[in-house]
Amino acid sequence: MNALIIDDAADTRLYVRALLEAWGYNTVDAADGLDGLERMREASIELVICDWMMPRMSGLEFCKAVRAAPFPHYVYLILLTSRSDKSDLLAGLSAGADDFLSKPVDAKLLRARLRVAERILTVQGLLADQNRTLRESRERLQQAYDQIQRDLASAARVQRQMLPPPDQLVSPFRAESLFLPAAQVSGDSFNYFQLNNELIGFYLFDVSGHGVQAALFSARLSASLLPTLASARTAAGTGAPAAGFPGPALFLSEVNTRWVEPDAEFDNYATIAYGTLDKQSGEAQIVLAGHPPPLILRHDGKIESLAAGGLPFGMFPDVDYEPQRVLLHPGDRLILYSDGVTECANRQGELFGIERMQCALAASAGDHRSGLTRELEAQLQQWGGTLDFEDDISVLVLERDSES
Amino acid sequence: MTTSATLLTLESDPTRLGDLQSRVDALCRDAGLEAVAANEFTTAIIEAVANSIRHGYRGEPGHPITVHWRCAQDRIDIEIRDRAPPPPAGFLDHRDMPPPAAESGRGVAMILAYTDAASYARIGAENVLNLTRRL
Repeated sequence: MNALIIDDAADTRLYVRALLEAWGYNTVDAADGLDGLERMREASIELVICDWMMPRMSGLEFCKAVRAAPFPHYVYLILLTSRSDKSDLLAGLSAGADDFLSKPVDAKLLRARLRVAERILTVQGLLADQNRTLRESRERLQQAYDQIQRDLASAARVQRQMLPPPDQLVSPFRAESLFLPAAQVSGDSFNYFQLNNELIGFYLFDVSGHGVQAALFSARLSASLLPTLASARTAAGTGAPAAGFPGPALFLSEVNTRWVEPDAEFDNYATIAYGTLDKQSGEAQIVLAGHPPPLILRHDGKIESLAAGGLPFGMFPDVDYEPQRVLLHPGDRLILYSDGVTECANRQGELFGIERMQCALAASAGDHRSGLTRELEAQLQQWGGTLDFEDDISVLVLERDSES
Repeated sequence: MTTSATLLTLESDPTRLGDLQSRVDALCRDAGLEAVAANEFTTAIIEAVANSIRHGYRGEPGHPITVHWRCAQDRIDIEIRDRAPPPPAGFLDHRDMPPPAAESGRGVAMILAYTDAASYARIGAENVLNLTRRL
């Protein structure tokens, strides 16, 4: 251990140095506080034995200066003094001294005090090591957390890019949508696409759970729900025949059967609304797999609901789904939504519910320009009192062109 | 209703109960039970399977349990089979709930409360519990 002895009396310096050298310390000395600070800068000193009364810089001033300096380790300070007043001792402690030793120096007492100092410095050293380990661990955790956040943000961007634009003409239908993920990545997804020259396909699904696992399930399911990927095109692309499309019910049943391994433990499942729109007749065929029944907002403001039905996707093999048929007249809108809309809770825990949703839709039914989803989003934010929702919210509105 | 009969098999592992609950609840709703009724009947079935794992197999994983779901026009019948030692005679007679502070003992009372009929039989080396809920 490196020790510094500061005293303006050379005989005291020599005596104390000799004792410490004999006990195994490496020592340096200084004649006053200013010299002492200089020695502190030159070498790593852990222990200082310092006289109180000295020219240029006293022991008290030296203690204050050491405590104010950013040394990388703790410095144990013993003040040498002939003072014994309580007020002097308090002044010494306030200045940062750890211990006192009376002059003239008694060798046995000094040895005992040094053992105390060694014990405290050892504990200080252990604490410093542990703090360094904790700091390094925290930095590594922070780096890992930052990386996860960056990855999630990237995943969220990719996921949003997989969704269709929020407002798009898919002649003779106009599609608008709302997507408010609860976390950065979501289990909800939706899409519409040209099946062939006559039919537009569409789906909206809600995967159980949240986060990365649900998002990965969602990505895989999105790909599976595009019939004959090689020939189908998204609505933005050219329509190519999806030869052999068996209709939404049989298609969903086939995908489900391929997806589910009998008796396998499942990590996620999904509720799905899947369907087709006939561009000529306006007929919609819709299959529900445990999904909230879509709504029909007629051009005159009346709202109808499809019937509930169907087992969730991904739970059981060999499930038969039954299509529901509904005719969309010019100006009618088909509204698919996830249960995050109706189960959006306010601060009192009350759910937004289907009635409020229908009222919100009916209130903006006559306005075909501003968009239903923006009005619904505003109402949900007002209801929930937040911009961050507990469940993923997604809405897809398909409106038959008034002119068609 | 899209399915009338389904056989669910699982091992005596409590972590599988979540899966089973999701599937049974979906089947109940698909059969036409309202949300509360579906939740009640699902609870009864999960309690019965949990009893099989905890008391029948004494928490040992790896033993077989089957849940046979059958849905008719007016009712749902569930048959739960396991190969555990038989339960105490008359265990289905415990219709009363235990004191509020009791930490266990509600399973059978809940099964009986949430079903319209419940019966037990020992068939060969198997315990067979039948539960019925009217639609």
